[in-house]
Amino acid sequence: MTRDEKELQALGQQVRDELGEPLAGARQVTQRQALLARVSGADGKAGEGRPRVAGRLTRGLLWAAAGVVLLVGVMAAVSSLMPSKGDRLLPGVRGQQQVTVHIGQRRFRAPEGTWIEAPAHRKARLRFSNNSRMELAPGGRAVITTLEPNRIAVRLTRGALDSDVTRRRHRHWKVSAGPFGVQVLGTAFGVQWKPDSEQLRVEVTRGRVKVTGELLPRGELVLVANQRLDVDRKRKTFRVSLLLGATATRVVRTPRQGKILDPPPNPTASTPPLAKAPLLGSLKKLLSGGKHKAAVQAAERIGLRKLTRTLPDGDLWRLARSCRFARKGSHAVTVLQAYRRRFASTRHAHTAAFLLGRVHLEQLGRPAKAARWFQQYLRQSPRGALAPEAHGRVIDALRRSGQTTQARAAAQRYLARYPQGIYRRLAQSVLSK
Amino acid sequence: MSTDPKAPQPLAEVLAFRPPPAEAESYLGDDPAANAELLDNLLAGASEAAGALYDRFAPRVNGLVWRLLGADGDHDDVVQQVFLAILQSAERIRSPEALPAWITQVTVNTVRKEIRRRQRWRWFQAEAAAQPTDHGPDGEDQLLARRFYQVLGRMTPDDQLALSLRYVEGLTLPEVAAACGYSLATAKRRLVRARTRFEKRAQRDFVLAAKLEGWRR
Repeated sequence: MTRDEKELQALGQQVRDELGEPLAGARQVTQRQALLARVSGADGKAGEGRPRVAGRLTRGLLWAAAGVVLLVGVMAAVSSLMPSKGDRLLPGVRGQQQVTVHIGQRRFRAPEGTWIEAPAHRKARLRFSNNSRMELAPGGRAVITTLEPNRIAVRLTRGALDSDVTRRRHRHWKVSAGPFGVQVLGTAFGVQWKPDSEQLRVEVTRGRVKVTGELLPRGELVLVANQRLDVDRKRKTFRVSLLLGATATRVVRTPRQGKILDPPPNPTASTPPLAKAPLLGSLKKLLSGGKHKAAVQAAERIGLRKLTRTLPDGDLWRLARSCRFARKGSHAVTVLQAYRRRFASTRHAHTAAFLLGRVHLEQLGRPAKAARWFQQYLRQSPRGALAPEAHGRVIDALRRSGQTTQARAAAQRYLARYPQGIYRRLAQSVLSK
Repeated sequence: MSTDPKAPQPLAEVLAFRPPPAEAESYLGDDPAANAELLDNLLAGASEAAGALYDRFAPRVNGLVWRLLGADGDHDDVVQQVFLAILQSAERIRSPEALPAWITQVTVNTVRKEIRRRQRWRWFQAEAAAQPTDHGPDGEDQLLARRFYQVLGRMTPDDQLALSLRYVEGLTLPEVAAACGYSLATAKRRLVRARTRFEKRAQRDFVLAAKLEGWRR
């Protein structure tokens, strides 16, 4: 070591002593809570990183880019603050969307995250501050998942929801039901979702909507005025038909208004020409690059069954992950089951059972099957890393599938094993019922 | 931080934070079995994984960020960025054994990005060139550290990192190379260059110059 280096080492040591240690207990608790809030999205910033700035630009270019960005930013801010002609802002934050829910004579404000359940014999009417309206049929249940100036999303968990949406440029409306989504492209339409029979019906009386989800060709379908879409997930069928008798300007009131004509004349359902099948190499690149949707589309073109027989261990595992993240539940099941068959001795094979449970529970709405997969994981890895999670999810899956006795037994086992576990409240609530 | 393990802890702390394992090796995140378990959880998206990751690597990440940026005011934000980056890139970790090294690399990369971001912003400030950095220690008892990070702040991010890792963090040359993603030869070359530049700048700072002169005698 040179003399200079020794001097720097002594200096560094003294600097280190002066700095001391960063982590007092309270600071650590704050950091941990902030991180978990960020990860779970509780602070509304899940998944966000620091804003990325372009790489090494010359100083002049950077100034020019900054000027343009500033100008665009100011214009965007001004435009987002300007209410459109149709907007009638309720008192509150300027530009902020607001919803008032009317049930009979009662009226209340519904912030983001509000669950709305229409009584058995009454509709619940939702009025948005831009004059858009929705009607939840008696007995229906929905939650306002997003309520932002330019993005509104409602999740229908049961019953029928009729909508008359005032469209505005750059404002996105979405109604989701089960694994399906209905993106509003300026329109009046009705959505009906029966969670028990897993049947979806969408009727459009004005404008257009884009329905996304499983079973649809390439995962999406655009419906135009006077069209009806029926999807039956259990039978794995979908049908588009003409909706006669619906007037062009009225919100669909009841799902029985139209007559069904077969075969369906649907100008938008024609399949676009298939893109050139990508090579396996590009699929692997997409998989390792985390481009989940694109990877799944590429896999579909190559042939999922073929891939499940030929892909090596790591790629097949990544394909399963992409299917899960792209919310292609049935694909994920196919790939994970193939993984378990082909690589039964690997570390991931047991994890695949756990993941199959999650996919069945969260994406396919099959809690009974989910419970069996979680139990399978626990049989194979009783002391596995995911065992506490699997024990907890078994309770949830059994409860949701209506197997109350088994759910209670699972809850008792959970509390005995993990009295401080994160599913303890669920277990306690199952036992208290 | 209290060093007495029997000292009473605040209730919130006891409830919210799992105490680190007793073994020092495990505390530093070098226990392969525990790393494998953690990696499984991360890959499966288990809800407890983020908390477990933090519990396991918070001391390492905090210490590194603290010494690379010099007791910085944005310390907590940077640490959060590090953990988010780790969570987002977990699927790229090939084996549990690579986890601790991966975490060091992600930390160094995040700090590098942070230094670059600050330097870019200094371009937009009219008197930036004449001003000391807007971060670093500020206590009266941290005079030497403050001067050190002020001088360091005028150097390139790569030079800053190489010097801090080698002389403040006390890593060996191969460890510096691994943390920065360099070959050993590049790390050596970069360190020599950074040292020369630092000494040249340190001569203009009377505190650092006096200190270095004192050690020379």
